[in-house]
Amino acid sequence: MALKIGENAPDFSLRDAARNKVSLEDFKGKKTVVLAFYLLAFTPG
Amino acid sequence: MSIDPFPSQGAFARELDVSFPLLSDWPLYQTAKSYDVWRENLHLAARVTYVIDKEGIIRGVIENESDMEIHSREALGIAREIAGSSG
Repeated sequence: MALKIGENAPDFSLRDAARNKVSLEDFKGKKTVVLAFYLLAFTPG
Repeated sequence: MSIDPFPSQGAFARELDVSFPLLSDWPLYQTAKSYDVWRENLHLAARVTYVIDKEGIIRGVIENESDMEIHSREALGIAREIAGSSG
């Protein structure tokens, strides 16, 4: 379960709540990304 | 990110007043699958937080189903370490 440290992070292209497209590629060379998977909206975590 | 459709994400984002994007992996769950957190039997993603550096390499993996604070605390710590080491 789950990818390991040192692996390449798979690219993704998803939409946020305002339906703007957000890709991992957008942050390459610019920012560290924290990608948090949580169960469902309105649940703690 | 979660598998919620956009309207749920929007309501959740407004309630939390967050300053980062809440992404929707609905309806294909492709990202949860490619990051190996998809649980087919439950039809839900596991609670996993990844820290990814500027080069696209995974630098941190936080897996804890019960203590949500560990996720933010450890992710922040790792992000700070990366920032410190790369300038």
